[in-house]
Amino acid sequence: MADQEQPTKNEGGETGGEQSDNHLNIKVNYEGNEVFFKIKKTTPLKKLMEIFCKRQGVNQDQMRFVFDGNRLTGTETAEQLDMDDQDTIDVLVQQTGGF
Amino acid sequence: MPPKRRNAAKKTTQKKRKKDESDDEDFKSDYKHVRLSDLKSGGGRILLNNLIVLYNNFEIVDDEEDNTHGVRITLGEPDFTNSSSFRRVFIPKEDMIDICASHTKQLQVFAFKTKNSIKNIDMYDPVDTSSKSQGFIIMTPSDERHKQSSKSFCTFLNYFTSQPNSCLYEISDNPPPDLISDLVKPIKDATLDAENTNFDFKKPTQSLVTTNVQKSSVRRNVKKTSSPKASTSTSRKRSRNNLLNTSTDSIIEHDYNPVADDEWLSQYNHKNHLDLYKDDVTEMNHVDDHDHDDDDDDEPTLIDKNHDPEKVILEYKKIKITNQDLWRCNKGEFLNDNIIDFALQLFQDSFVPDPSTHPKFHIFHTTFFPLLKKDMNRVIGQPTNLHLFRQDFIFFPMNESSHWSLVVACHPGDSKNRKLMYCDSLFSGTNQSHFDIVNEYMNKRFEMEKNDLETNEDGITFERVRAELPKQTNSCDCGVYMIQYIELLASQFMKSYPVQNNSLFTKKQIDQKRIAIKSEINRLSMDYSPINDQDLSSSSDIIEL
Repeated sequence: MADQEQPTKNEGGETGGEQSDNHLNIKVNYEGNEVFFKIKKTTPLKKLMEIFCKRQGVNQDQMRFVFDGNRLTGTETAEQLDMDDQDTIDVLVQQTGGF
Repeated sequence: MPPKRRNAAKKTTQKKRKKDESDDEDFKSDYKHVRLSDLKSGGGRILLNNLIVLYNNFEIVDDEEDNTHGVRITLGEPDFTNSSSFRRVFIPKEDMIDICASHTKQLQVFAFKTKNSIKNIDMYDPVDTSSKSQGFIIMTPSDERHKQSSKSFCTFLNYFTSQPNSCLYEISDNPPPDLISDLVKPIKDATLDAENTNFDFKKPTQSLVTTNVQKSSVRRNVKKTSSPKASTSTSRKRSRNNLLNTSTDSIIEHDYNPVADDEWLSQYNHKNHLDLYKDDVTEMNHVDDHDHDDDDDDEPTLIDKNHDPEKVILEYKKIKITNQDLWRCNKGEFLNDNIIDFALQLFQDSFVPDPSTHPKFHIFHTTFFPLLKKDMNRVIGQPTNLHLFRQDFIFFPMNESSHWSLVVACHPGDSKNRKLMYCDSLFSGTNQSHFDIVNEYMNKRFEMEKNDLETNEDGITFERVRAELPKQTNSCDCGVYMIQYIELLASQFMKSYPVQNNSLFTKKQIDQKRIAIKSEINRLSMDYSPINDQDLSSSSDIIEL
């Protein structure tokens, strides 16, 4: 963790090809479509979920966010989940059944 | 209704439709005749306006034997501490007019008007856009404004029929106008003011997923608070995802008149649905004798919490349970993935197997199979650190077309006895495509794990079998049966596989299972306090690319 934490000197500097800062590019896969997010490693994923659902016009409590086989509640950060750049979060719609 | 009359009525409907069509260029005229049984049940939400749109939990009833045809809907304030607060209303087909159904690729629209006006109808609305079987009901009281609403009604349907892959069906007859006026009750202008009908149908080009999200609130004034149930609700807000841009005047005041409501209910109340709920309550008290006896006294705190359907009341091992989810534990409701995962997790946490006598098993979450189906290679490594081939049973819960079923990989490590067993509480066939997916996954896992196994097999094949287990007798319990199957199969070795035992458990145990899950959630939610995480992130923390 300590070695990743670099003081952010680059104020207006464009991000080069490498992810030198504390951000990751995360793919969100929903019904075969991928939406890309650039997210700070220490930001709770709740933020991403909210933005995603708002953009898609879907109701958040109908959506299940899954990473590495585990559900995400939103409190997790990319860092805690040991996410790598270009990792994928899957989004599934609620499943119901009766008959 | 005599057949002759029906035909005449049908003609009227078609005429009227034609007229609407000419009024509205886009309106499609390709009606098809469809039976009630062709429709599926679903859930939805309300759009309150002159046109009363009930996008709600409903069940199509089309029972030849009982000669029951119509729609059953759930009414009332969700009060999770009191199951009898849920009111079921059965609307017979004869009382429905102007029935239309429209199928889009994603959504089924089911709309009708009722002969009688339904005053102050308010519903609990589990929002559910997940499966194709979802739809909604539109009910408009047919009074002298009939024509006016009919226009909106058609425009509304037109919105859906303009979606790709959709078509419009007409499924019933329209009774002659005189019959309608006889039955119609006067309706309060506040609810049915024509001014409020201004549906602003922009271009119906926007797709269903990207529609406007807007908040509207429903105010409900309780006049008579004689019953304890009624006194608990005064006003509340609900956010809803309007499929349409309604007029700005989306706040509608309703006079709540329990007496009138009850009258209407007694008229339509389907058999002894309410009595069934009463059973629930007594049984719950019986099951949890000591800690739930005084529950009634504690209600006020619980009720407060229960008013927002989307409120998370419990987080258990990453599974968030909302009030809506809890509501699904009630008799007659469909279970969703949250409840199933919760119940199965709870089972695994409370069941302490004795390794010498009990099977070793792994139960996949409900989210696993959809991902397996979507992109197997990406999830092939899951679960990590678990030797599937050293388990006795691996359970794959699966959901398709609003139906839960189960595939169990039995003794995957035993070359002579390995089987894929299909367990379905409703259908008697087997689903080969489900088998294929599980088979492919297990084969890929075998490649990954075989070096750790004492085996000289190159590849594996599973015998595909079907279990004969107790079956559901209704159209709502498959999720509960699936949970019951898993718990029974995981906790003991049966005499033989596939299991052939139709009396492994009783219907009563299924009902009790619902109650047990519900009371477990209630119990655990007492201690749950949501983490109040303050949002300190700035806008630069996340950027959509």
